[in-house]
Amino acid sequence: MFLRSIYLKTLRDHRVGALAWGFGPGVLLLATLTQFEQLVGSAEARAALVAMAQQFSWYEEPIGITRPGGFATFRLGPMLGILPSVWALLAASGTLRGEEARGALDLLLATPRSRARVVWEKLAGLATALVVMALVLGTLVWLAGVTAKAEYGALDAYVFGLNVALTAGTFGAIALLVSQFTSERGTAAGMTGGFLALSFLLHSTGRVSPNVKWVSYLSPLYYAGLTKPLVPEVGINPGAMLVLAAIVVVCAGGAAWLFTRRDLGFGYRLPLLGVLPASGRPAAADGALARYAFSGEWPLRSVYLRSLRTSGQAALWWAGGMAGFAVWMTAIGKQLQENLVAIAASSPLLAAVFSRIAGGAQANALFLGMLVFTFTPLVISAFAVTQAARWAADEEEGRTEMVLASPVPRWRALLARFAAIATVLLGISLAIYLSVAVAAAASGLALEQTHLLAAAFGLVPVALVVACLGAALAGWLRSGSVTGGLILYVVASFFVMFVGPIFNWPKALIRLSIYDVYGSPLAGGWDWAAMSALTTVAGVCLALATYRFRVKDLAR
Amino acid sequence: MAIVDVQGLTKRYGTRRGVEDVTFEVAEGEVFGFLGPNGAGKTTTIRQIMGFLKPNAGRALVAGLDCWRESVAVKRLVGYLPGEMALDPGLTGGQVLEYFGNLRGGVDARYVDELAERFGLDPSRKFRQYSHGNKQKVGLAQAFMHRPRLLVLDEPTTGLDPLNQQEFARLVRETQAEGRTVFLSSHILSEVEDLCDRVAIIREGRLVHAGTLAALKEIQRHVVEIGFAEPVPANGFAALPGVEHAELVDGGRRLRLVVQGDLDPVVKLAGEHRVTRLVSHEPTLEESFLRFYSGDGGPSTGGAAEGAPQEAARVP
Repeated sequence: MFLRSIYLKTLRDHRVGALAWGFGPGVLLLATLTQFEQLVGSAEARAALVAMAQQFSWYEEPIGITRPGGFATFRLGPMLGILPSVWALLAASGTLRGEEARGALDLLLATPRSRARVVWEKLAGLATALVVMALVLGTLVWLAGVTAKAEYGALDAYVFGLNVALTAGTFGAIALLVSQFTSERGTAAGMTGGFLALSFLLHSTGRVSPNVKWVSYLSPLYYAGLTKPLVPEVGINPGAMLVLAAIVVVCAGGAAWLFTRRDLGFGYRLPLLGVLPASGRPAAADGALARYAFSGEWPLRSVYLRSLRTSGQAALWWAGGMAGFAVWMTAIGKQLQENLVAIAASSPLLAAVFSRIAGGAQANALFLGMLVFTFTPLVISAFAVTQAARWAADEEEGRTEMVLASPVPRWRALLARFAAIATVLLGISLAIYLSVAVAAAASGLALEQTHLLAAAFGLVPVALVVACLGAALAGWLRSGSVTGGLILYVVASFFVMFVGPIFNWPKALIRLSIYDVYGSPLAGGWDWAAMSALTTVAGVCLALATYRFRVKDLAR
Repeated sequence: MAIVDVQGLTKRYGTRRGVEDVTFEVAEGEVFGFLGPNGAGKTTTIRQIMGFLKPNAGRALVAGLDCWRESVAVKRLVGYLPGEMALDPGLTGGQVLEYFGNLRGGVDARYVDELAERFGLDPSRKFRQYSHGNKQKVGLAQAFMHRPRLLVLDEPTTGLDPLNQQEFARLVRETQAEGRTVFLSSHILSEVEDLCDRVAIIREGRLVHAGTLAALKEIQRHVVEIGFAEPVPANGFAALPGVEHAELVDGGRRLRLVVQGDLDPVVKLAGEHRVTRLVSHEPTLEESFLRFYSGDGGPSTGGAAEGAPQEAARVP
């Protein structure tokens, strides 16, 4: 049935993603609401929750958080906007540009269908996948509300799902538009991902700094956040949803318009991006061929250097994003601290809660650790996932085979690749260390430098565990499964670190989370035992990967 | 000593067939053609020779080195062109050649330039911008650039224009003249006939023939039609050695025979009668190949799959 038309085939391509991204966040919300009663059982608990929420006002406005809908929106709202957006932007950038790069679109366009029809059927397929995701998510949100006796109804739950789908669709449409100007899917996805991160920062900046509230208006997440169907005080904002819908229509329509007018396999030239021209390059003058003398470029000298160049280029975006996030958080950290102290002064109970987070290097470390070093381990893990996935994909697509056709031992090819990844991770950690150190010094936030070093460079073993686990999985699994498995592990690790202590899960289970093992080095300093454990796990995974890679058949 | 020595090579992908008990040898300095229909097992065999796949049974040796256990040493001797080439799309053709040149070591940059010029390759363009044929030229240049002792080429002229096919043929002949060996998988029979000293044919994972092209012609079948003045009995002809099929038509006055090998017994028996017409059709090389491809290889080729190829493929 799904092979009857381009529309149905596109829907088929994204059916697993749509169901997974509807089901996963829905279950997360269900789990979040099951702990609600436990958290707000007493007046003291409610006061503490409100106070804690104030610390995270940069993350989400704490409105009605003592009721299930408000609590769920506060806890998961922004994440439920961002994570499905990552899926949508990857799917959208792969839909035209990805298929073009693979040559799949040539065949499709060789059938008697106009380009416009092909692109509109594909867009309709993507839109339907988003609607499916919204329906699944809405259903689970409604069930969660019934379970927790929340005040919102089925309609609110489905509008919540629709708002998430609209947000994801917005970034998907932007990725689709950007991909008309790039030569590779990855570039479009990376740029849109960067814009997603920037959108989060702009929205947060506007929220915590009323003087520059206008910067929020530049972020699609701001319009997504105006609709909070699970919070009766806020409700549905049709205007904001229309803004998101308008962005989708303009970007997707623009992308379709551009696609129908350009050469297949080429992009539109933007001077700053250095992308492919809109049509084939003219031949060299007089038909003369350029001669190529070996240039001696350093990235071409060995597998390690070539990998360093490839991973390093990708890492620039990630390092820039993480360093920017760290700088921003550090910069606003002091202001947030002062706001909290002012709030605490009005209540003896809150004063007791905040007594640990104001004044002195240790208090700063606790606060900044929460702001910066809760999320950077997750983001650097995501980078490690992309690197492991690339290793698996290189084997599957035959690039590794070409390297191994030269006299390079298999073990050396693998170790050189992962040595390059480790080097790049050190570079990212250094960038984070420098950015936090400089921003803290500039904003007068006192920090223990050795602890900051521990927090920044402690990220390397965390990411290495993910990358090396990916290398080991690649010994048995295809690249798609490697990526899926790693994402599952990373998300589960993060979730377990947050939820495990609340539900009193066994300590041994919680220690399986790499983020729990990473701990709070900004406050506690370098933990040799924890770092040794992470490094050992990474080493074991890499040894297993090397053994397996030496004896396995190369996949194609 | 044979530079390529494949003995009883077997590879299975779970329940799927790969190759089964493949045996052949390639002498140093020859151009060896490796033929077969799509999915017959050519690439599986080649990837085992390259050490990318581990055989379930049997062995593949290159210059006496085991292709799996000593794969790095093997690759020092080999230049390889895969059937489907995947290279970093962000590198230029020149950078691709430089990178693989550095991984191999000892590559003469002037020779690389010469190869690029001979194939009319513009090395300054990104790999992703090349046409299929130009990508193939990059692949050929990287396979030849270190003057390897053995070239393993999987469908090397795919996508090349006729001029570049001729250039490729010249390069292969030069390589052979220097005493180096070419192992060539191809579907282009004229190319095989033009370049190869010996061929092996694989079908459904099994080797069905290995030997010289001349030997292949010797086992060709002739279709013979004899007209007689009077009706003749078919039994005598059907019992002759080499006669695979005998059919009388036109009231016994016309005899159609399919004969493999020597025609002498048929001609002598026909001479005992009054012959009015004799037509013998010898299949072209292409028809012979197609016969092997289609599974109509005849009794002698069936025997070859079971062991005879070792004899036919033995280095003279």
